[in-house]
Amino acid sequence: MKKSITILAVLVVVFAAFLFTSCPEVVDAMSKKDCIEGFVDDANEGNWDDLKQYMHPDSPYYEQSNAANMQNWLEVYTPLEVGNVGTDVATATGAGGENFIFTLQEDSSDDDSYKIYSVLVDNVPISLSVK
Amino acid sequence: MKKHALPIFAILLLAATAPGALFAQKANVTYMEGTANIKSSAGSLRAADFGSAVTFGESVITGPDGLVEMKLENGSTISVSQNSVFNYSYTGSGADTRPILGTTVGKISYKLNKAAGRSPLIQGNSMVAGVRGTEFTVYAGRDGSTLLAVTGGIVDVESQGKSVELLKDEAVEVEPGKAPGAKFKWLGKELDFSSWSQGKTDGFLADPVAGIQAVEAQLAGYKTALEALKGPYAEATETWKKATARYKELVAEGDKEATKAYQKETLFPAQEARSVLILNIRYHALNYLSVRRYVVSNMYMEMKTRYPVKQTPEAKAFFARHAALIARYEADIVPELNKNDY
Repeated sequence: MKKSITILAVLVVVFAAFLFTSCPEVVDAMSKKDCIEGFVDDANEGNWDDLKQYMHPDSPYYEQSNAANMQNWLEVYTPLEVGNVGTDVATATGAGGENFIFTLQEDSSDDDSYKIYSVLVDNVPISLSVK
Repeated sequence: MKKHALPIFAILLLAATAPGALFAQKANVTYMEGTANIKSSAGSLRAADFGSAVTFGESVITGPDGLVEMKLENGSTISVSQNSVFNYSYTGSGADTRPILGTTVGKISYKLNKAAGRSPLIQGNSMVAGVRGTEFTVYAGRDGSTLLAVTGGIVDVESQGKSVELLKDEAVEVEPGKAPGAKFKWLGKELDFSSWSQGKTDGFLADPVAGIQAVEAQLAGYKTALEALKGPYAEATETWKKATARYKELVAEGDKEATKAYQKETLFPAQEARSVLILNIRYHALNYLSVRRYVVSNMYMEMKTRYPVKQTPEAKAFFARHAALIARYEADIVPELNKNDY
C-alpha cells in the first residue's frame, strides 16, 4: 500500500512539473482598463520604475519615462483616482482635483496591448518638452 | 568639466543657430538587405523590414550581410552599412531639443536635407559634430576612433575642446580622448572602411595598454560632464521639492485659482527644469555605456581570444586596467542607467 502511495505521489509531482514546464506561457494582452488601472496603482504606490511598461513605444514621452522623470511629474498629484475609460481616452483625478487625460493606443509589438500615448494634466502635457 | 563641456555647448550653439534640418521623430526603413534588427529602448529586438519605423531611443544593428537605408520625413537619408550600429536619440528639451544621429560601430552615411528648424547633432565614440545641410560618412573603428568624411556641405567636428571645420572632400580622424587630427583631402573616393578599421584594430593590438588608456580618457570626459550636472540637479530637486510642498499646501487651503496659478507659474517650470537635467545626465551615462559596450568589450574580446590563459605582462596590464574601468563603470554610471539600458 505504502509503495502505491509513493508511486502515486511521484506521478503527481512529475505531472505537476510537466504541466508547469511544458505549456507555453500565456500572456494576456493588456486592456485599456488594465493599463490605466495598473498605471494609477503603480503611481500611487510610488513604483516609478514600473510605469514605463504602460507607455506606448511610439509615444513622445516614452524615452523620458524613466523612474526619475515619472516621479518628477506625478508624485505631487498622487494618489490618483481612475475616472472613465473610453474608446481612445481615459481620465483620472489627482489628489488636488487635477484633471488627467490619457490617450491610449494599441501596441502591436506587445500582444496588441493598449498603452498610454500621451498624458495631460489640466490640459498641459506632463512633459513641457513634448509638443 | 570646462575642458570638455564648454566646447560641446559651443558646438551645440553653432548647430542651433545654423540653418539646419527639421527632423521628424521617425526614420522609416526604405530599403534593406540581409540581416538587420531594431533594438528598442526597452531592450527588445525586432527584425528590420521595409517600412519599419525607428524612433528616438532605438538602434539599428546590421549583420555581416546587412544594409539598411532609412528616410526621415524631410527627405534626409541614412544608410547603415554591414556590421554597424546606428543610434537614434535626442538631447535637450523644449526649444533646445536636438536629434542625435549616432554612429557607434561600423560605417554610416548621411545625406541631410536643409530645412527650417533644428539641425541634428552627429555623434561618434570620440567626437560630436554640427552640420549645416550636408552629405557625409562616419566610420567608427573598434578601438573607439572615428573618421568623418564630407561629400557636400560643412561639418564642424569637435572633441576635447578643439574643433575642425570640414568642407567638401575633406575628412578628419579623431582618436578616443584626443582632439581631432589634421584634416585631409580624400578627393571624393570611397574610403576603404575595412582596411581602415583593421588598421585601427592592429594599432590597438600593437599597444593594448595605450589603447585602453585612450578610451579611459574619453570615458573620463563623459563622467566629468555627468558629474558637473549633479550640483544643478541637486538644486533643481530642492526647488522642485519646495514647489511640490507649496502646491500641496495651496490644494489643502482650497483656493483653486491660486493653486492653478502656482501650478502654471512655479510647479510646471520646476518639474521641467529638473526633467531637463535628468535627461542630460542620462545622455552622458548612455554615451559612457555605448563606448563600454561597443569599444571596451571589443578590446576585451580581442585580447581574451589571444590570451585566454597564459598572459604576457602587457596583456596582464591590459586586463587589470579593464577590470578597473568596469569597476568605475559599475560605481559611477550604472546608477544613472535604467535596467533596460544594459
